[in-house]
Amino acid sequence: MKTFAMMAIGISAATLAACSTDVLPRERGADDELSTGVSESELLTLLTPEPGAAAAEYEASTSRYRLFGVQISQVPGESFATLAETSTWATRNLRVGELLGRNLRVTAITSEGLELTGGVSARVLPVGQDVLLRIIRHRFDQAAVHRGRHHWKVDGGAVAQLRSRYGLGVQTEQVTLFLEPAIRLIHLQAEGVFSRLGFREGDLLFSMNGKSLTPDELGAVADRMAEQGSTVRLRVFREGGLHEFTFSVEAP
Amino acid sequence: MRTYQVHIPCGVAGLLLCGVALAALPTKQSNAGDSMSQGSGANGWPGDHVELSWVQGTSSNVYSVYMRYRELEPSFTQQPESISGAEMVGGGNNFAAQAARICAQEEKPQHVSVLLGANDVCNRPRSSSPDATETLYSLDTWRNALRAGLDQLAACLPAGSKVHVLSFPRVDFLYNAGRAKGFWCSTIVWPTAGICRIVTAETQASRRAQIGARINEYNEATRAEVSLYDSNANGQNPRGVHFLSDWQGSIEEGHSNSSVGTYVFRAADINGTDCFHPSVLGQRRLACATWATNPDGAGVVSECFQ
Repeated sequence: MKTFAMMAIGISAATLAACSTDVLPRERGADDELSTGVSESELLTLLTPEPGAAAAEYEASTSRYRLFGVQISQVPGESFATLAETSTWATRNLRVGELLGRNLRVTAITSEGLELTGGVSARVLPVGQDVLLRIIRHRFDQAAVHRGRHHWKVDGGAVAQLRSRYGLGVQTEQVTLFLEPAIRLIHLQAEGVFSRLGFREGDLLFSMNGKSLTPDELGAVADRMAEQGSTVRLRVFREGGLHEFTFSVEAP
Repeated sequence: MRTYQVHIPCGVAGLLLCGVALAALPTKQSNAGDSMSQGSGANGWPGDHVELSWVQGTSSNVYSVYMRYRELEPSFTQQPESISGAEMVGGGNNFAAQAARICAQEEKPQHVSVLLGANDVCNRPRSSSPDATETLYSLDTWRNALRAGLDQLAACLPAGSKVHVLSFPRVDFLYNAGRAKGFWCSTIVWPTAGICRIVTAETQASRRAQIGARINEYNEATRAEVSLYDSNANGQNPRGVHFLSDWQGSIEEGHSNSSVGTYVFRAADINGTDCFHPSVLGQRRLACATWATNPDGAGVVSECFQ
């Protein structure tokens, strides 16, 4: 048992050391993303493992990240750090306690940078420098992957599994905006289908593939998102703008 | 790139010195931007209306940058990359992501307009601290996001191309413009649609002014960065792409109506449906003002806003 624990600590320390200490020169290629499997022993180091999930349901990817900056607030919990993944330039605003994948947690945000902790080790990512991070994700975490502009690739199988395990994970209310009925998403649960598909608190859904939606039709939206080969076009009002989001349900 | 002859009126003596000036005109433009560059809601209907965009529009009611270039160069084309909801910093369609898409275009543009920033402010939650700006991106964050895009454009655009990085409007003034527009803006539309609540729900003028001051700082930081790239003082632009900003200084420093970022949008400049996006008149003013600071363009910015 002691040997096993030592091995787990060793793996987690090695994972973090490999990811966050490498401050890279700009000359190195931007497309150095590397995806690998996750070993059974590595599962022991995960901070939030998916209950009952086997190693084959996880994927580890090593990518280059750049901390754009931090915003320090006097109010506890309001400080945040903006981290960009440089192959797509997609960013996340991270707060203390939030996870990066299943293996790294934000443990501090200071003027020095962003502190990530995985297993027993912690390292600080400095502002403006590129680092390699090895992130372990479960299949559910990638149920919808952004493909640029307003387009997402959806893993229909993952959506179906999420639905049976966690449900839609959203409450709704009907509102009228611009003289049209819409569904406002409220109280999204992080594990639920709608949160995993990238929907946010306050999103207003008007229609799916040209047809108006009512609150009791959200299940139909999830059904379509689980149908291999289907394309779902949703008219969504988010953050001040009306957008058409396209979800292509493809094989993972 | 074609050459375009600009005949400058010269006196007899001046003719010897002045003659005919030659300036290179682009044949293709692209742009990075948000819903403002998509003409969203300009005609009062929600959603994109690109024909009414200040940069890519085809409507004579707006007289866009694209149309102005077409008058000078009939074969002028465009391949826009702006997208509604985009930020300078955040999300998957930020400036760096749009710059990557511009660089991926088969035929590279020789002119790129950049207008981003409003969503960086409007998408942030309200701060519960005495400092209303504590939920906004820091200046470091802004600069690094800007650099991530400018680095790519400097590396991929043809030498001599122009990148026109515009200051963005003071969204803190939206509060007054919407109230002047009609009671429905502040009582129905803004709360129901969640429009820019960091300012539209902020009743204290002093806190809105704090946000306005941060916008000035973003615009000033943009000018400083753009200058570093243009001169290659940072070593990131060895191929000689021309970078320029329209920012001259803030309203508070006495530079009212000198740039996009120093125009105080009024009721007529925003549409009456979402009480947020520029109306056709607002888009026309943007087109006029950006053309006035475009090195290929003409006009006086302050006259565009009268």
